[in-house]
Amino acid sequence: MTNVEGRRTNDAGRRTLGAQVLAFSIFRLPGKYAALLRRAMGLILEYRASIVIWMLTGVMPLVMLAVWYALAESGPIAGYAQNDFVAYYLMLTLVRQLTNVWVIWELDYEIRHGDLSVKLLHPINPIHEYIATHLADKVFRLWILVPLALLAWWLFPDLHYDVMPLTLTLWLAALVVAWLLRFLSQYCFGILAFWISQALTLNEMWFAGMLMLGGVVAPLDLFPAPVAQVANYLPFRFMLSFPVEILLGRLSASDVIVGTLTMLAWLAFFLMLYRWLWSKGIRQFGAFGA
Amino acid sequence: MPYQPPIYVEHLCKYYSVHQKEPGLIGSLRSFVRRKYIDVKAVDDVSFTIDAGEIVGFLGPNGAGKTTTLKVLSGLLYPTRGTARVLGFIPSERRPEFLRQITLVMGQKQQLAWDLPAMETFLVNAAIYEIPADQFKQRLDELTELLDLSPLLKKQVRKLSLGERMKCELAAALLHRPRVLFLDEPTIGLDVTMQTRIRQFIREYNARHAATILLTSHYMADVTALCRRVIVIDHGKVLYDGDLHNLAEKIAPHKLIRVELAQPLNGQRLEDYGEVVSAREQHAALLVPRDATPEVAARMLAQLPIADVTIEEPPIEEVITRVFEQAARARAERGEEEDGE
Repeated sequence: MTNVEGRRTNDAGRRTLGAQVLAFSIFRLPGKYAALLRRAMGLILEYRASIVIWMLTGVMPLVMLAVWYALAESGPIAGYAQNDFVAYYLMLTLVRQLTNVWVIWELDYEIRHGDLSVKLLHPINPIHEYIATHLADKVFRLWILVPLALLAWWLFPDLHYDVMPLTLTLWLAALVVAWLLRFLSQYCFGILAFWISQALTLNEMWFAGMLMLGGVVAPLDLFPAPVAQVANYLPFRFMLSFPVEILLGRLSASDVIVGTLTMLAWLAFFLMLYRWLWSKGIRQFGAFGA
Repeated sequence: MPYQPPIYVEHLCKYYSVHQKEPGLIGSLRSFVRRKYIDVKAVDDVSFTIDAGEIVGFLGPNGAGKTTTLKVLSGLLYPTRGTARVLGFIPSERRPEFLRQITLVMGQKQQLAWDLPAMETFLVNAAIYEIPADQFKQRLDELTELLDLSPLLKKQVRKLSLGERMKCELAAALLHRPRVLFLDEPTIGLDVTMQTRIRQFIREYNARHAATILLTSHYMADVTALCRRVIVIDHGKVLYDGDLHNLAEKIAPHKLIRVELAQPLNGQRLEDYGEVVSAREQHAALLVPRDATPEVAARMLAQLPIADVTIEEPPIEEVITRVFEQAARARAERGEEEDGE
């Protein structure tokens, strides 16, 4: 009773079959996600209280809002009046909540304790299981964020956002890419746990970079011109600030185009980095602890 | 085309590079400045094949390389050298069509989501293993019947007992009906009744689906009940591969003679007949050289007031222990160190 696959010896045949399997699994992926999401939702609801607490840790933009609001009392700063700061930071808070990522904590733990073994045995790339957990978290967060956003809208009726169909579409796309960038870059740091035991520390530095240069401490156009110039092309901007900038209507058409292209370039970069690191790291895996 | 057994391993090696650190602060500093690495040969030139439908027991003390071998065969670890083929696939490529046909059950790692009922994990597995709905239902019914799962399916996993959890783990690992099963300590920590239960189930699965099974266990009872063939491994090397019962003949040069005396001994000494293992009131057990057994037994019957006599193979645990002792002695004679290098 020999497996037919086992008899294939030439590489060409192998590739064709590989391509078939790939096409097949892409076709089947939505069904798998439905099941993964279902389980992840179950877990999220099990841990709902702690998620609300975690959401509160993402309110640092509101603290910065208070600071800038006070500073702008005597007049606009670099074109930002008090209301502009409110509009900016409320949107930044929303974007941050919706792009929140914690995958490195799971990945790092599972690699170093060997729990990743369980996921590696499944005929699906483990990244999909992590993505599903994050998606479920976003679904849960929307239930809380939508009423809060409506409340904010009611409290500050004169906030100005550029809500044209085109900008809204761009905002949504930039939001999705921002999440992907945050997820993939953190995933790459997590993969480092195959080699080093301090992957979390490196990620903390990355996170600090995002707070500084991703628009949390200050809107990027408040930085001195040389810093802002550089920050405009760093990945941090596209992990948080860019979707906000789009909706604030402060970008020219060419700014948006250059930004979008830079954003997509970073996405391609992290996608390739992830694939490369994963294929190397998986060879290092020790599957410890069992 | 030549026949290829479902499990084929040739000259397989898996070395770990581990850095050594003296305990304490000085040791930490020293290892920070200059790390000392040594190669630990977890699996060292192992070869064997397993035929379709066989249940093979993988025996060896802790750290012998059993689990490492299972992990290489299920694609979790990249081998350092050598060849491993499972169902014709190279395991470390971890191709989905390979993973869909195997399973690895680890007694100490679980795939069930701790805070959800086991059923949730079953449904997820049904999706990622692409099990059609009707087959899923049929297999779940079968597993539910064999493992008596119905009261467990809707309980949170964390509220299950260890044995109940293991039954659910097995079910989760077998829903996709793998053709090759790697079972690493599937009965660890379970009480005797539950061990028997799991054992029966493994035998039943093997019989129903002609699955090929390689299992490790510290409980000899698992192995004697399930496996005709054993592979004994120690320090990464295969010491014995063959019939479980031949192992005793090959390794243990003794047999065990148990006697029951009709009356207390009157001056005769049991020591004259063989090595006395136990003697309590009128029961005694002696180890006698294998070749001399018939002659010694005859002499005892003639010379002692014997009510009953049985001749047995020594317990398999003792045989195995002896295998490892002999291997350790052989290593010591060759001047090898106990670990690694």
